[in-house]
Amino acid sequence: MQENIQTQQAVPSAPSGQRPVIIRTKGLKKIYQMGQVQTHALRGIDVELYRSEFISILGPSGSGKSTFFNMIGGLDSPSSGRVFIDEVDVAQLNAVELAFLRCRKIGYIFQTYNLVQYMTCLENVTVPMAFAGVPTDEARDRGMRLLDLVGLKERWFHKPIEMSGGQQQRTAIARSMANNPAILLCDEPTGNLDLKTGAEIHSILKRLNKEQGVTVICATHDHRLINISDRILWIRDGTIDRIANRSEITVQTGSIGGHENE
Amino acid sequence: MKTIEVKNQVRLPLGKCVELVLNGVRFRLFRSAITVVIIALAVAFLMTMLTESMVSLEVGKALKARTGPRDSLLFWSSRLTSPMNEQELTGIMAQAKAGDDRWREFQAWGALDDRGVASLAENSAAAMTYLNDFFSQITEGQRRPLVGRASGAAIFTTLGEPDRLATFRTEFAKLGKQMPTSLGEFEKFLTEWKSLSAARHKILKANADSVNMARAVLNDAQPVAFLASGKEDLPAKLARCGFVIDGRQAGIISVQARQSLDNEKIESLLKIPLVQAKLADRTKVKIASINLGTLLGEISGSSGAEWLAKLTATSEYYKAADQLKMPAFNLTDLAIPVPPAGQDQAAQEKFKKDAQAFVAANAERVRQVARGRLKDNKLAEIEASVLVSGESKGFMGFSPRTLWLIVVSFIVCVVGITNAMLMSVTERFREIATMKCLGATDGFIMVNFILESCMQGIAGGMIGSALGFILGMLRSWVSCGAMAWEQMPGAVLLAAMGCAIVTGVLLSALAAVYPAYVAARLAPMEAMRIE
Repeated sequence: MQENIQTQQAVPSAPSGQRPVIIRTKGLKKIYQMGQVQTHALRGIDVELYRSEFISILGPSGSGKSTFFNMIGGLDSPSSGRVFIDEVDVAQLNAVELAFLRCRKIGYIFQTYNLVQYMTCLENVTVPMAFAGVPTDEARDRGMRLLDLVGLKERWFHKPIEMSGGQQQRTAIARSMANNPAILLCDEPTGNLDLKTGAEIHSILKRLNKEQGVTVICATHDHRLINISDRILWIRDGTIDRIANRSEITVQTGSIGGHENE
Repeated sequence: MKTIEVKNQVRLPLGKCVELVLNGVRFRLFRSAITVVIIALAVAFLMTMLTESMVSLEVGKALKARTGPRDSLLFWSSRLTSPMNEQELTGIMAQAKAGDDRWREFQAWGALDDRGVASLAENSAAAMTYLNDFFSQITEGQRRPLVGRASGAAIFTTLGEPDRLATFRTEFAKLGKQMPTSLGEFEKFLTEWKSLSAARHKILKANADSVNMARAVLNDAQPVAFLASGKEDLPAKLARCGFVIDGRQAGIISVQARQSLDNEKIESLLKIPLVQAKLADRTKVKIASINLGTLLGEISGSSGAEWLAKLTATSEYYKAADQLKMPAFNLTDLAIPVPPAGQDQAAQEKFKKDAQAFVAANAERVRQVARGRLKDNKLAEIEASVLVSGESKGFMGFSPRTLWLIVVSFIVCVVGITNAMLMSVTERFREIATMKCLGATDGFIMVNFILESCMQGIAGGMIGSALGFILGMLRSWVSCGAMAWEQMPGAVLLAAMGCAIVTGVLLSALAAVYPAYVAARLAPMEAMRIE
């Protein structure tokens, strides 16, 4: 009945300083002004995330988790403080350079998949390549390889509406990998999926992390995802509550029901 | 290991943009269709107005060309019988062009060279300007103190007297109105008018002589009958009296005169009770309500024309016509066949044949004349309606009111499209934000939406201009009849169609600017939001 996680012993906790830093934040603050009321979403976060790490970010809703997530993804700019992505100050980038960054360096995976409804599976995967200026033929070949990687090669011509949630999320993962990014930002990637399909997504993410050295950052509540993370980061009230290596915490995962998970 | 290096994002080629947009439009076909309909309606309205005004302009031109012969006939039948007065002379002279018929007449009558006629023509043109723009514009009460009882061209003759001119000066100063030119200019004109008066009177005298000669030639006949009888020899006949007319004009006038005479003959048939009775019988209309329209309607068809020709060849008809002292009904150039007196078989045969030929020829001509008359009546109606609609002036032949309506329809269209596009943007928040996460630049999103709108503009423009053309032609058809199709200016309308389509595209592009801006400004983190 115990969840079978092959990678449990494979990742030792990385001592800080030895591995290169890919994302660093300094005194990150975000204040939302709503009329007379000021909301402090982030109250100064200093954190370093390492290259090729698998990190989970946890926190109750309203904790500033999403805000933090948007900041390190180059989707929003801080009120004060800085975000360095691979030593590049995101605040210094103009709109076109940010688009470049989002296109090639960061892959996004959303809870609601966010596939373009009127495109086929393959077209969805090749959209970021089109934005990066990859020739159509090359984009198609690369798209098919990526679909093969997530096990959807046979379904390349299907529209999102004809696919299950798990298949849609796998397509989204293929899309996020389109331009070979250094970072994968996953916002509750398995939030809308059942346990079994969630597990499939987890193994794909872990595989990408292991085989291609992609830094995977997940905002999640899924304990099994936490289970395969290298480090876990808790956010509470706009500050970092706790950072822990996987080995320092105990995660208990089990399964509900019998044959469903086999 | 992957390192990060930031450069400028590539710009997508237009072809790729179009491909992506078309893909999206296909998916949102229904919403696109609504936008297309809005554009189509506005463009159709514009195109209807364009078509109508252009067709009515052409029809107006054609009408002028067609009513020309009628006006020339009236002009000539009056000038053969009554001499011109000074006023008429001035009017005609003002419009004479070097070398035309009137010009040569004036040269002959006044024994003048080209320069002489030219100065007369110039002076007359000035006189008409003063008359039309000043003396006709002031009231009788205002005119009396200025020039006394004189009116028309006589005003200038009156003002030729120095004391009258002095009165004019003082009274004009009191009046406080503007002349078309300065007062000094007017006085210079008066001096010239006076100096040319001898030449004018010489022309008037010669004209009166010509009219007397023409009267002698006419010998109590109607001028229209005289003009109708003349064929190739009409210019020569008129030249003997001193009138100048070229062969082409003479031909037009004699055809018109013939038509007019034949019309009268047909009209006079209705005076005969027998014809009335027979017509009432044939058309099942009560005798009391029979009018010219009934008769024309009946005989403009070939069977009706034959019926009339046969009826007017019967002895019954001759008797009835004789009682009213009316001549035999003959619209042809043929002599009416007379039955032979004797019992000669061959003569009888020949008479029968001749009579048949005569009836057939008469019937054909009756039909022609009746048709011509109906057409003329229709033209008069169209003329009235084209004049009433008053669409013949202003920008592109539009009246200010129409122009205003078109502008309002454009504004409504732009607002409608903007609304539809804004809704489309709102619906696609997540899609747009996702695209931005995947590396779309603000410029791409903006181009994307404007392109989408332009495509809808092209579709709507094409549908609308075709629809508008059809509607406009139908409306013109109702008001102008078959002339609308005959006078349809194809090339101009095609150009108008092009303009209408371009207008549609421009309108939709304009309408999409704000929604596209909203979409481009959208933050990419909207993609993370969960509804």
